Amino acid sequence: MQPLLEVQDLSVTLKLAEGEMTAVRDVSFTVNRGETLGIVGESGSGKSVSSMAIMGLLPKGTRTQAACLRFDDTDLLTATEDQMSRLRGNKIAMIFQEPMTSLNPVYTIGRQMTELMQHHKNASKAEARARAIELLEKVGITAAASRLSQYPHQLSGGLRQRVMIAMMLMNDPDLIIADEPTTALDVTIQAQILNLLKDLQKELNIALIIISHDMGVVARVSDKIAVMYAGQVIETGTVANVLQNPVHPYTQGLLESIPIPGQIEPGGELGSIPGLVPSLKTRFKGCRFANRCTRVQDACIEESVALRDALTGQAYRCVLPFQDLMAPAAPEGHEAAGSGHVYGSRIDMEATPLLSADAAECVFQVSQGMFSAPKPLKAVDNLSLDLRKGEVVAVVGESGCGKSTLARMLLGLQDPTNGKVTLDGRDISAMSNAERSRKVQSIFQDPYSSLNPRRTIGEIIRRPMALHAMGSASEQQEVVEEIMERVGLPRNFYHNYPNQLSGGQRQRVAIARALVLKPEIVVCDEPTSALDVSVQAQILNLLLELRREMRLTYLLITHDMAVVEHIATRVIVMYLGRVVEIADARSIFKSPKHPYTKALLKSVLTPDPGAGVPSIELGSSYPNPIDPPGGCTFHPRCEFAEEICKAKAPLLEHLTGQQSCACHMVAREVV
Amino acid sequence: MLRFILKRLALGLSVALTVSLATFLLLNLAADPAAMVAGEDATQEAIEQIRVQYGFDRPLYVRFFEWFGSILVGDFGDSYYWKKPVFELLIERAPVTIALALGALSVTILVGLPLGVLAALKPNGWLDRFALSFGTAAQAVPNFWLGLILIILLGVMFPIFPVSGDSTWKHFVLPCFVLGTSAVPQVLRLTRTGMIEVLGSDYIRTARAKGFRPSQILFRHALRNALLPVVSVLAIQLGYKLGGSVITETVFALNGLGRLAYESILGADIPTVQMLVFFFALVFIVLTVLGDILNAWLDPRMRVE
Amino acid sequence: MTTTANAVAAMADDIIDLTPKERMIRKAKSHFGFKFGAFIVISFALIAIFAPLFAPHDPYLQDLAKRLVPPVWQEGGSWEHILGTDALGRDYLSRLIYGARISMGVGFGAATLGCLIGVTIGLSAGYLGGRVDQAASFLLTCQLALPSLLLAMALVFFVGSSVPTLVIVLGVLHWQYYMVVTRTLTRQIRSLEYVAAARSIGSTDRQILFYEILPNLFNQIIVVFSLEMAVVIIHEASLSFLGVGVQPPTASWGLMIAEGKTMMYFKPYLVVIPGAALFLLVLAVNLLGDGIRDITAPESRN
Repeated sequence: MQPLLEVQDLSVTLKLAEGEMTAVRDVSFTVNRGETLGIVGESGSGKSVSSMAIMGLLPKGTRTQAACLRFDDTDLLTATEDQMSRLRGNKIAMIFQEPMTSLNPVYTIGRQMTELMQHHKNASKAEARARAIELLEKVGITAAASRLSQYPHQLSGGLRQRVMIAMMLMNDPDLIIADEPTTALDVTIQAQILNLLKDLQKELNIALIIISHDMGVVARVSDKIAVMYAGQVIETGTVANVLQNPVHPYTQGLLESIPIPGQIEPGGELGSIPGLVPSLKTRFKGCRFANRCTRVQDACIEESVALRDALTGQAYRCVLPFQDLMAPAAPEGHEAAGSGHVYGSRIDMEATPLLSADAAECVFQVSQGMFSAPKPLKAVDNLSLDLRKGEVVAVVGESGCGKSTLARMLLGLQDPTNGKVTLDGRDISAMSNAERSRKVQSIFQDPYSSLNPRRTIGEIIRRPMALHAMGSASEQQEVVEEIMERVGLPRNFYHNYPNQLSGGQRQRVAIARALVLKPEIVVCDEPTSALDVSVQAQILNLLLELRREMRLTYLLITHDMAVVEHIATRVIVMYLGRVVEIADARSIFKSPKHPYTKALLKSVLTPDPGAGVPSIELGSSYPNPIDPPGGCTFHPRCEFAEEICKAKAPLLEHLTGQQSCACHMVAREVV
Repeated sequence: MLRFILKRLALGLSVALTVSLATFLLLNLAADPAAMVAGEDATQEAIEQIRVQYGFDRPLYVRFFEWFGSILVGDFGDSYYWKKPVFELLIERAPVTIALALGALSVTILVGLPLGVLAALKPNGWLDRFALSFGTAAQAVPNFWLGLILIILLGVMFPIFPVSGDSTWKHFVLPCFVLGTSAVPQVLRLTRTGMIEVLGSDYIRTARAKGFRPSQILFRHALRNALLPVVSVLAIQLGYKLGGSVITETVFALNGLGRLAYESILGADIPTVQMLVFFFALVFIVLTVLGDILNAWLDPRMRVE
Repeated sequence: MTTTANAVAAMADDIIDLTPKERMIRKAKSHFGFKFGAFIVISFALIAIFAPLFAPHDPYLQDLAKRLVPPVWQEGGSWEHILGTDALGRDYLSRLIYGARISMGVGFGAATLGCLIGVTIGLSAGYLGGRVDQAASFLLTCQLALPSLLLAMALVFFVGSSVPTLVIVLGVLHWQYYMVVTRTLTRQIRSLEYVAAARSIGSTDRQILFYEILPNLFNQIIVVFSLEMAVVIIHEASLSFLGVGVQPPTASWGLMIAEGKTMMYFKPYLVVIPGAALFLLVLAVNLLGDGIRDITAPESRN
């Protein structure tokens, strides 16, 4: 039987203002009915461009070439625009990353769903409506009929993605291409959507292509996998083969740069791929990975390499024989870096805390119009925490849980409405800017907006010293150059501007700026979530190194449990502004107590082929913080909830050691 | 929806109140009203006599509340210059201005919208370049000068349309064209930018992935979204045209409100000027409220619960 | 240490873009509108500043014997009066040159005044938010509701027309656009992480406003400045045309058109020439503004 989709030697040349660039070169893969192909790669790897080429959705002026580009009986290369229109949304459906913007805001869900069937199948309005209701129910949306008259903005992100999936199923497609379908969603919702896609695929015998930057997602749902780098497939095969016995140095490096519990000890050095993720504009000669490869040979730089078979079952693109590649690399192993062991570092839990919040509360008045009375939004509710010297405390929770507000309060940038924040035993709001900023510093999430575009790198890093008049200009410059070198920035970047740097480099600048005042505490707000996987590992390693060297204390704000497990010593789990569980890292990961903590841990997708996607029994959406449920705020989503949970909010109760939990059921030992 | 409308109206009323106060103060403080009314060569006694006669000797706030109070009961005062109620003048002159404004708005819409949409379909194409150049040129042409050039060309060299007066529809062709052209650049650019943005949006990509053809996407999926911001601007433009056509009416000798305003300024007719400024502001406010309501009706995201 | 050492080695020469200044210069060089606009605006400015050097005659000197001499390219024209003379026998080119002073002066002055007012209100509204912002928005709505040309006419006429009056009245009535742009951008920038970072390294509000925010508004303010200057130039000409702006015998393009209007059927050049100058200047100022916008527009990340 011939495969449903066959792509052979696909090349795509984009026309940009700066000239032509080849975004995809010689990409080949096939997908059968009922099979899932995962395409994984970092930004600019060409994974989305390939899928758009299949759909024929690339902008005008793009050149698509291939030895074969065939779907079912249609040659997609020679198909007319008319033929393509009849395939799209009908035989081939596509699901996009941003559920917030991928649906038209001015039309109802119903109209957007039914028009698809009316357009392709000439179905009557009633037929299409019935089908829409049926599918909405299938994707797990309650009160489906009444949803049809709702507009996209009235639904949460998770619901919108379900609507998107249901919409794309309207015409019983044979192939679904899902481009980062869960990247914009919270982790607990991600698992639900992936499960939904898998179930539907099995039930309807659809071919599925799932594109993601996340090895975990691809590993859990795919049968086959293609790893892309700089516009090429550099390794492909069954998921088990590629992930368990990676051959190509890039695949190996990528897998090592993911903090996987059990494979790397917490705090150890992650294997990271040096250098930058190449941009589309790069002109390549020879192997595209050569400049970042640890096993680079002379031959790599001269000639390009073809995809060839390894005896282990997969194909790879490298000059070296697979036997050599699979032998362990240079002895410089990761075990050696065990000195960074986080659990073992001595933290004196009796010492006076450096930074603490005492029953801190932060309430915003959210006005919804010029005349309606503003409503209170409790971003942080009665929260107490202590940060002691040498700790890495992680605050985890999904978007809207108040973790960023907490960070701002701890930085002294936001006064608590009630309660107080103390730094070294003194009220932080009573401290001067200079005093406070020498003790606490911060690193932000988005390296693209955390640096002023009008200032040079040198000016940015020097600014804190200039503000507080520390030393002469030449002394300041010396300190800046020293710290630039320390965080891994070449000195010649001093006079460059942020726009000239890549995301990872910018994040290093932000780290340098935070450290130049030699603070004791650094608040890191999602420091790696905007970065590519291989760069994320570089930054995490850097943060750990710096912590050891400069004896820093970190407060880490994140949603990524894998990162938390790798570097945190203590973990605080937040839900709707409240702490639901707090414990040392070992206890949290070994014996989590709160149902929400358990769900969060379960939703971590390690690149574990065949493990499947865990099913997470949480109600579909995160509540609106402006209108939180009564009693235990978690009860509408909790499978253990009983009457008391609806009536009374649980208090944080001490369990054992450093572990406390706010749950009626845990207190009664039901859970 | 009703609450939304009520809120906008309440805001509009407070704006109207502030604007009337501001106008009153500005006009009465800019110069000695008695001296203005008396004229340039008046003696000091004549000025003092007028001051008492017109009541300018009373404190400013008394006069303001008197004026504002009479507006509330529908009394718009009497014109010093025409010696009759301002309201009568308003009713007399308004039809010409309304006809002019609506005609001009039609020109703006008929030229600006299609040109903007067409330009957006192929950014940097020849049509786009033409539309943008046309917009830039139209923006730089002084209204009154364009009027005069058209009068020279069409009225005199090729007499197709009458160039002065307002007795037939033909009289309105040139003024509507001139006044309408002035708003074309703004509408054109806004339509173009909006359309380009919408065509590049994620939901249009979705529509393409759903297999719709370009023309279906344009009319069924993109147009409404792209025109949302244009609606507000059209409301504002209509407001300006109803109030700001002083120049066009003067150049083409149309006896409308703009010309009335011009004449009353030159005649130092403070009650009429005051009333007109207030009236234009009120019209503007009502139109923008209507624009907002229309927008809320077109855009579900605007309907605040 | 090994990872960082590798990283440094790998990226030492890896500068992925030009500096903002280099990029602007490169774009400016290939932007026709910008070059054309800048050339005309600078030329007009020089002509206005050094008007006495450029003008061949005294713009106020009446010579009734030489009334309505046509421009040199028409029959009966002479090189002595290249653009002819007006109804009072004054040299039209000289009046045009002196008229540039009024247009440029009033345009620049009023645009500057409006800029000061609008940027101040916009910055405070955008940065402080809350009640200040609500008050500023209310003020804006009121200003938009006022028929500004009409009000300007009335005020200038009542106060008594002079160039300073024109500058003040037009300036005070043209701050909205600055305010809207400044406010929107300030709000955007205020929520960016580099402002939060500035705060956490200990910057005060003042330092944030002047070191982090204002420099990032500069380009857009210049764009608005040029577009507003174009509007003000047209408004001055309109007021003068209607007889409530610059008063005779001062030379202003709007006034020249008004004076020429009575004879435009037989002497169209009296209206065409000053109007064309006005058109050219406003066009150039607009092109310059659009050009600056294009040149300084940030490129998208990808």
